[in-house]
Amino acid sequence: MLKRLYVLCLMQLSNKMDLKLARSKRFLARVALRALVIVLMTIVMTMVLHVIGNILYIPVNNYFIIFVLLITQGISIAAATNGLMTDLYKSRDNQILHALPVNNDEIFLSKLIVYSLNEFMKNLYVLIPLLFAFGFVNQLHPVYYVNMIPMVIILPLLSVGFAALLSMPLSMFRNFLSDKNILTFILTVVLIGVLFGLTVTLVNRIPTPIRIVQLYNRFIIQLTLIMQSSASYGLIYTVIGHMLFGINIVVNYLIVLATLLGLALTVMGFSKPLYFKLASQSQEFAVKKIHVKSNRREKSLFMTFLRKEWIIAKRSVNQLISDYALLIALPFFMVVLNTIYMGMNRSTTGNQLVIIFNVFIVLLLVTASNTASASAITTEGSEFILLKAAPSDTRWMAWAKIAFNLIFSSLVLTFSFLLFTLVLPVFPTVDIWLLYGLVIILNSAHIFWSFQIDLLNPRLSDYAMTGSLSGNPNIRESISSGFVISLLFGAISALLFFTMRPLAWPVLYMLALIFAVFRLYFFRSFLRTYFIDIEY
Amino acid sequence: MNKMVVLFLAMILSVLSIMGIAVFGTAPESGSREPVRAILIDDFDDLNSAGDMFKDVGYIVDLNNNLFTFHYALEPIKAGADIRVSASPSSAVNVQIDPVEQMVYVFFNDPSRRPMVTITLRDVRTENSVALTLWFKPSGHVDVPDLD
Repeated sequence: MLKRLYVLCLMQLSNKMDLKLARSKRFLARVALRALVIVLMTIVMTMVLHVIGNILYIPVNNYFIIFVLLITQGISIAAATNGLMTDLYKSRDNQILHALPVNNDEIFLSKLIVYSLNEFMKNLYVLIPLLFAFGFVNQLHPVYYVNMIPMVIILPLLSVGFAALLSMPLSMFRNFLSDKNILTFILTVVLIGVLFGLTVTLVNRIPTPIRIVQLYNRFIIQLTLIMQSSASYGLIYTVIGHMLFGINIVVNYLIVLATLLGLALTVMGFSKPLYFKLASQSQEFAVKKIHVKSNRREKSLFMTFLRKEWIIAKRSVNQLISDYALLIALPFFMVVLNTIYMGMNRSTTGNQLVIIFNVFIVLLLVTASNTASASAITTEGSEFILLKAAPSDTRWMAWAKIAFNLIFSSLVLTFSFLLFTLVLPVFPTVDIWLLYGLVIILNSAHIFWSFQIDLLNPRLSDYAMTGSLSGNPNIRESISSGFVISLLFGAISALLFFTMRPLAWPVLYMLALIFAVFRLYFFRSFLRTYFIDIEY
Repeated sequence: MNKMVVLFLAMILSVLSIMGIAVFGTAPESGSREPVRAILIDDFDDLNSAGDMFKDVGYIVDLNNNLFTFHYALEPIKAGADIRVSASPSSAVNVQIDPVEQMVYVFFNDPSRRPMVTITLRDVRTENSVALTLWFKPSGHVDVPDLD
């Protein structure tokens, strides 16, 4: 069994790193370079701890290190759970590994070993420099450094163990949701609602009038108290913290080893009946087509394409949420920021600054959400051939896609601004709705611009081959152009609100309308000229 | 540029905007509040002839709890104050103040060393100050009354 495990691990490791390199000089050079990175990271961490202790004035004591362990290991477990849900159950090498003459348990275990090695490498660059830096800053006893060595091995094993355990029910839940789009949508909306409610509750607890220095003091005190109390709830990580500082060292070592053993047995016990089932479950036949097939004739070509966009959105809710994630985050930003702004005892300059910052930040988030338009033609992929061959004016497809983006983003914006007026009644209502109108106009202009970027340089074949939009230059260009618009209109509004307050809104609206008309004109011209030339 | 970068930028900009409005856009505080006449601390055990206050924290602070808190008050109650706190020796503790709740939080860095620490509260506007010395009374220590 051990030999098979060894071969399985080597096979998977050879996919991730160049094992032939292990005996060469280049390997030694790479090890030396990594050691240098660790030393540099230790120096950086030492400086960071000095800043935390002496400038931010947060106590850097053993409670601090237990708290940092809890946070870093929490993040590590979350990231490893996500990674393992793919590596264990959805990885492409499963098809090869499961065809080999080995047990499912051996494949499962080999994957966990490979993942633990990766975690170990990650810890080398973050946790180890941090622990070293902590030792230097507090001038700790050499026993502390000796106790660090087993930690380097134990911590990755613990996080991978917890992640492996969590990955099983979560994968089952993901499989359950995979063909239930409406349920996924409802759950997402409920989750966003709960998060919004929590944000509003937390923000409302800030005492007014807000004095930033006092607020900062209270924040630091609360953070320090949370750090102190986290040791009571840190479970195994508190035990590890005590171990590092040499408290009840034998008992604590025994507790950690017993936890590791118990975790390993639990993971293997659950994986026995579940692993193969989860790894072999395919989504290919999961979609149950319950709708009655019927040909519905739309009144116009535009409506046909708009309906197609609606159907695609309904069938891929996750993609829709991913496209408009920043727009969905907008109400959170607006409520938190403006509650703090309104809580401060503002002067006239302060009121003008509030509007200027709102223009800049809202535009920044809204324009970064038009990536669907910046990849509208690209995501047609190989299907674009059918459009080209259709005996109709398929340019209407572009208008339908733009209309969908416009309607959806305007709906979310209207909802965000309505929430804004309800949650913050002290904010001048006229300014809220003037800002809303400005954002709608500029967002429309940016949608035309984003679509034009994709129209002039569609990546049809790239998308057809990879099925992925990661690294798409059109999306990057769209986000960058949105940033330029936000910066430009933020600067113009600053100039106008400080120099000619009564005329600020009319001038801003005039400029926004000119810009929108200009972008619409260019988009129409480019669509007429270049759509016909698009080749797969 | 990608969405994560935009999100990060928006967060940075939000923090900067709050700082910007706090620095350039807030109305000045009302100057009509009375100045601080005295800072009062009630939570002490002994007072020596020089008027220095002492507090034994040995029964509160130990290896499992490194925090000692005490309340202070201002005279008059609604005085316009800007209270700063300091500790001597500063390496023994981390001391923080909550001016809203008028509480001082003293975190002992290493309670096993049982250090003696003097916490000083000072109003920057009037230079009025008060000091409280925290110490760990040794077991078996008996206070002998001053016969003079």
